This record gives sequence, structure tokens and C-alpha cells, in this order.
Amino acid sequence: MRHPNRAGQDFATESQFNITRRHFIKRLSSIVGGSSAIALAGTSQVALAYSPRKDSASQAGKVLSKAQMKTLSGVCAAVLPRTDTPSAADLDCHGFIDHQLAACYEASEHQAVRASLDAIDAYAQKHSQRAFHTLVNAERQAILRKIEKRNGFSEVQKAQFTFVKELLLFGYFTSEVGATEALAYQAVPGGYKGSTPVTEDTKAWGSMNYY
Amino acid sequence: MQASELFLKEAQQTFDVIVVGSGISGGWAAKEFTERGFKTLMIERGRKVEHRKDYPTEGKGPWQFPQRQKVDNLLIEEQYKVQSKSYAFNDATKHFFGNDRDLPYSTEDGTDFRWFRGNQLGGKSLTWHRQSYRMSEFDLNANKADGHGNDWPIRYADLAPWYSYVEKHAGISGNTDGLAQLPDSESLPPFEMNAAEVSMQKQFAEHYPDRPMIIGRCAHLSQTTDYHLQHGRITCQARDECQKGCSFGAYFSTQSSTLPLAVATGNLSIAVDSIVHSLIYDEASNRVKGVRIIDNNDLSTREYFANVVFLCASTLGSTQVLLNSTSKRFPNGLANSSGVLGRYFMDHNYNARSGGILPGFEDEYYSGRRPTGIYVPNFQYEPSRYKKHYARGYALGGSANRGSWKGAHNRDGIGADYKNSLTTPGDWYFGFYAQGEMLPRFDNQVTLHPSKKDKWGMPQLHFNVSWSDNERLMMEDCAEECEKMLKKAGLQYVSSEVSLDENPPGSAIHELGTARMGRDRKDSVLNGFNQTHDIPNLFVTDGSAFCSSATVNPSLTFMALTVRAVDYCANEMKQRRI
Repeated sequence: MRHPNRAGQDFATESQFNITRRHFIKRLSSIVGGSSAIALAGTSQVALAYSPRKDSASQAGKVLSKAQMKTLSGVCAAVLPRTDTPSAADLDCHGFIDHQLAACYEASEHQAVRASLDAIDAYAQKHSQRAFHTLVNAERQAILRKIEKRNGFSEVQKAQFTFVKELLLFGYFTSEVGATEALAYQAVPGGYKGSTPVTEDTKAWGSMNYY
Repeated sequence: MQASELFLKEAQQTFDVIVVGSGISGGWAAKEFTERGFKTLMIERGRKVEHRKDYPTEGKGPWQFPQRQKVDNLLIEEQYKVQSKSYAFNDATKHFFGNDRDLPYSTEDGTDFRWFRGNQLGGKSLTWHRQSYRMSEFDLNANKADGHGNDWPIRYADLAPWYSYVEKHAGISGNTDGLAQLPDSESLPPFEMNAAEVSMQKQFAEHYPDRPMIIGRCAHLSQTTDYHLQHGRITCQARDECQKGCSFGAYFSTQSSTLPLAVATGNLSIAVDSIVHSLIYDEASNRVKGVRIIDNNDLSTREYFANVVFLCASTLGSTQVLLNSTSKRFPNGLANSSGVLGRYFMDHNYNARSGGILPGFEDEYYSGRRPTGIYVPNFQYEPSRYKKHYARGYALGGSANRGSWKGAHNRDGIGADYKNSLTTPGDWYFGFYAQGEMLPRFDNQVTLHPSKKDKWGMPQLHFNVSWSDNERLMMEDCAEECEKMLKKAGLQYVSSEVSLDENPPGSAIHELGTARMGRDRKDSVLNGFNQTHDIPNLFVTDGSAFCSSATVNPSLTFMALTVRAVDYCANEMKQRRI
């Protein structure tokens, strides 16, 4: 487009502005490349959220082996057991953790989770001659408490388990049941009140500004 | 919206005014000019974002996102390495952040910089933190008082009526606190403090009477008024998910507040996806004639023309355009006869924090997610109040909240009791974070890289910006002071940290300076009305005009400077001096 008022003589950078055809095509292809990447990113945004499955513990995941998935399901059931709300295993947090590891975490973090689950199962095999996931919840919890006390487990193993716990809590409390049933969820609070009473029934807020 | 006429690509006419940018400053400039009857073209480099319609993630729970609002790490690695450092960046907001791969910049060896981008209609007005404070007479006098930087050519009295003007329209919630160091705004009712905060407020009043703690002032409608209802805006629902966009129009954004009024005049046109390459300058008349555009999508070029150009393209965006507009008279950037264009870059320094557990208040909770915190205004606001070993001061932001499952993995616990402890309100935690002033320094400079360009052919910005000893000493002192204050107020397990080495300049997303105001055209780019000293019909009204950073969040001052500049410019146009 050219305009009658155009003061072209002052356009000292004219040459860099007038893009040659070759440059144009080169740049265009880089933009098209960018656009399709953006389109892909857009797709991932509307991609389906993780849906809980019933069979996550009976098959290998994206990051974890079948045996590790079984152990993890046992860890989920033990750390956040069934109370008046479902357990973390009931909500398939083990399946979600595997899904989340694949998408948002690095290889070293994958390895930390694998190592933690292997150590937990090895401990069960050694001391109970059974796989961790086949133990009853009280037995599983006793082993996990030993990790936290570093009783038969190292500092590194405790740190690895703390990471598993982090993923587990995140998975549970950002699930719909976790956020809205185990906790209290306000999608639209309607305003802020600085002082509300705490009663026996008061639940912590599951609705947050950032997760 | 009359979408078909409002949005244009090619334009044959000469507009009265071109406003480059559609964020906080650009939106205000467009509103003010169109309401005065000027045919105005707003130019935005990014895509169109329509109020309500283009807030696709609004109201969604975390379980509705593939990774529960976390972003795929491959995507971060490839496209959002810088942007992902923002607290507000997540899967629900990332569409309002720029794509790092397309927006490269370079840094001087041994320095680092984080440049956060919001290239869409509405700019960063969609994602800002909405804290709104006036600068004080002390702030505007600081450079003169202690000799750092140049003297602001304006004083508080110059801005006060314009602060009032923008506050009434934008809607600012807060108290009238009566503090000399933080002038009161024209306020909507304040948000409440919770019980723990009220207690802390009393403690500080007793132990630190010169450090009053107030409720944060923010650009939220804490109450529906008839005036705001006319614009389709209603009361804040306390979701605090603002960066997804807000269909209630409860916080100030271009889309909720300024754009609807500009559109209603019938005097506004908008060119989106239009990247300003440079300004068209006519040496004979010493005027800018318009702008050169590269199309965001297909790289075609076009030009737009106007009698006046307002650059509101963000601090770094406006400076980049000026630096890239060269001519015989201005070989080093348009309106840069002083040579200081690109220099005296400032950000804020948020790199000290402290917090601890507040015992008691087990029976107290709160409801809703308050979109503001508590605030302790800068208490070192004049030289007599400075610490001996560094200049100027810091404000403190903060809040009290009860513990939740977040962070609870670090606590030992397995089983039903542990689960129960996570589903009931936890301990009260109170924390402060620093909002420190950064000194204006000649050496903190942005330039155009001599060879590197982005995919549109624009020379990349090259940053040579670093924290000085003054900033480091201030943050170390702040962490120490906060610890003392919190212990004195009865907190337990108090800890503090300084994070200057982890967070380079840019991290506060308060870019300021680089085209500063001044009385002396030899060492400043703009006069006291944001008009360039060199070219009468060229104005810059974003953060680049700042002579000092002060400690307050700068956006309210962008608004006040912009409307004041428009008023001045409109008058000059009427008098035919422009």
C-alpha cells in the first residue's frame, strides 16, 4: 500500500524493510512452521483431561512398569486411604501420576519415582516375602512411615518418596472429587469475607487461584 | 461491537491520531482521543481478543486441563522458557503470554534478563496484577533529593487530578489511609483483612508506627456502581483467576474498561496483527507522518498515517520502535538527539521475602479468594529515612493464609490422620515479600542487536542490565528487617531469603525508563507532557517515560500520565501548535 502522504525519502531503513522474495518465502515458511506448532499447542489445550481408569494398576504406564504401577497404587491407597471420601487409589492417582510424569517432568524425576517404588517393593519382598501392593493398608503404611523416619531407608530414599507424595497430593486434590468433595470448592465465591467461623464440618478450600 | 467497521487492515485515510499498543496506556489514549472527537487508529501487534468471547479457560476447574493447569515441559522448553517464570503462567493463562521462540532477544555476557510479553489486543492489561497505587511527592522528588537519575519534570500536583480521573473510571478498591508517602486514591470500598492480618496490623502499629500495614489497593470493582454497570461491569466475585480474563469485567482491563467507551464513540479503528516496524518521519517538517507495519501473519507490509502518534507499546516495545526508526537527522533512533534512548532501564526488585507461622486463630477462616493482599508502603521514602549503606527503600506486599495440601508433602504423615489434616484448614502463615526500588543507572541499557533479527525482520533487543550493589544491599536489609518485624509480631518458625541471583531484572514485569522525561532535552527524550523534545507530534506515554521507579506498582501512573498527555496534546492540536 502506498499513501500520498508517505515520506519515503526518510525511510533510511527502506532496504531492510523491503523484503526480497527469497527472504519473504524463508520467513513465511518459518511463520507457517510456527503457526502449525501453535495449532498443535492449541490442540493440546483442548485435549481431554486425564480420565481415571480402573485398570491402571494392571498394566505398564507411559513412564512406569507394570510392577511399579502396582506398587504405586498401593502407595496411593496407603498415603490417602479411603475415609468418608475415596482413597487416592480409588481416584486412580497412580494412573494420573504416570500421565503427569510423562508430560511435565524430566527423565531424572522419572528415575526418582521408579527408584522409590522399587525400593518400597524390595523392602516388602525382603521383610514380608510379598509384593507391596498385596499387603494390607496397615502393613503398607508401616513401611512408608519407616521411609519418613529413615528407618532402613536413606536420606535420598526419603527425598524420592517425598517427591512421590508431592505428585500424589497434587493428583488427589486437583481431581474433581478431591477438590470438590474431599475439600470445599467455590467456583464463584461471590465476594471475599475476611472472617468466617471454623466448625467441625469446615473443610479446607479446594478452589485456589493457582495450582 | 461493530466488528466489521471497527477492525481494519488497509486504510487510505489519514487519522487524527495513531495509538501504538492496546494495553493499559494504549487503551486509555484511545478512549480519551476518541471521546474528544478525534479519529483514532489503535495498532496492536497481536491477535484480536474479544471481551468474554475469548476467555476460553475462564471458570474451569484444574481437573478440566490435561495436566491440571501445569504446562507440558516440552512446550515450555521449546516455546515458553522465559514466560513460564511468571507466577501467573500456567495452562489456563498461557494464551495471553508471548511465545519465546518467536520473540527472541539477547543479553550481554554476564547479564541476564527476563522479558515477559503480552502481545494481544488488551496487552498485559489482561494479565496484570492490578495493584494500584499513586506515586507520591516524595517519589517524584526522589531523584532531585538524592542525586540518582534526573529530576522528574513533574510533581504530585501535576498528576493528582489525573489520578482521580482514571481511578473513578477504572475502579480502584482501597481505604483512605491518610499517608503522606502513599496518597489516597478515589476509592471503592476496601477488601477485608482476615483475622490474622488484623492482628498483624495491630502488632506493627504498636512496634513499628512508621510502617503502617494497609489493605492492598487494586483495580477491582469491590462494589457495583451505576457508572460501572453502564459499561457492563459488575462486582468482583473474588475468584482471583483474573489472568484467564473476567467476564464480570470486575477488574480493569482494556477490554472491560477503556475499549468499550472508545468503540462507542464511533471514532475508533483497530488494526490487529500489525507489528510496527518503525515510524515514518518527515525531516522537512520535523513531524512523524505515520507508521510502517509488518503483518503478524503473512509478513506483508503496509503503512498507516496520522497527524499525531502516541507510542503506548510498552516500555521496551516503544523504545525498540524508536531505536529502529532511523533517518539522516536521527541516525541513532527517532527523537534520540539526547542519546539517552534505551538507557536508565529500571524494573522493581521483588527478591526478598520472609514468613512464618502465626499461632492461634484456629476458629477463624475466610471465604473467597481475595484479589489483593496487605501492603506496607515504603517507609524509607526520603533521604533522612534511608539506611546508611544504600539509597531509597522498599514496600512490602503480603498476606495471611491457612495451610492447605500445597507444600504438605514435606510434612511427615501417612494415612487417615494425615489425610484429615489436609482436608481441614491448616496453620496460619503470614508472609512478606519485597517491592524494592531500582535506581536509574546510565549503564542499564537496551540497544538494537547489530545483526540478530526476529522472524518479522525486526532487529532484536539486546539487554545490558543488571542489579547494582544498591539493589543487593537493599534486598539483604529487607530480608533482615522483615524477619525482625515478624518475630516481634509473634510469628514462629520465621525464615527469610534473598533471591537476587535467581531472578534477573525484568522478573517483576515492571519495565520502566529507556525514554525518560526531563526538563533538559540534552539528557532526556520526553518533556513533562510525554511529548518528545525533538518532534512535537510524537508522544510516548508508557513506562519508558519514568525517571525513577519508585516502589509502587506503576500501571496507575501509566494511566494518569497517558490521560494527562492526551489532554495536553488535544489542546495543542486545537491551538494548531501540533
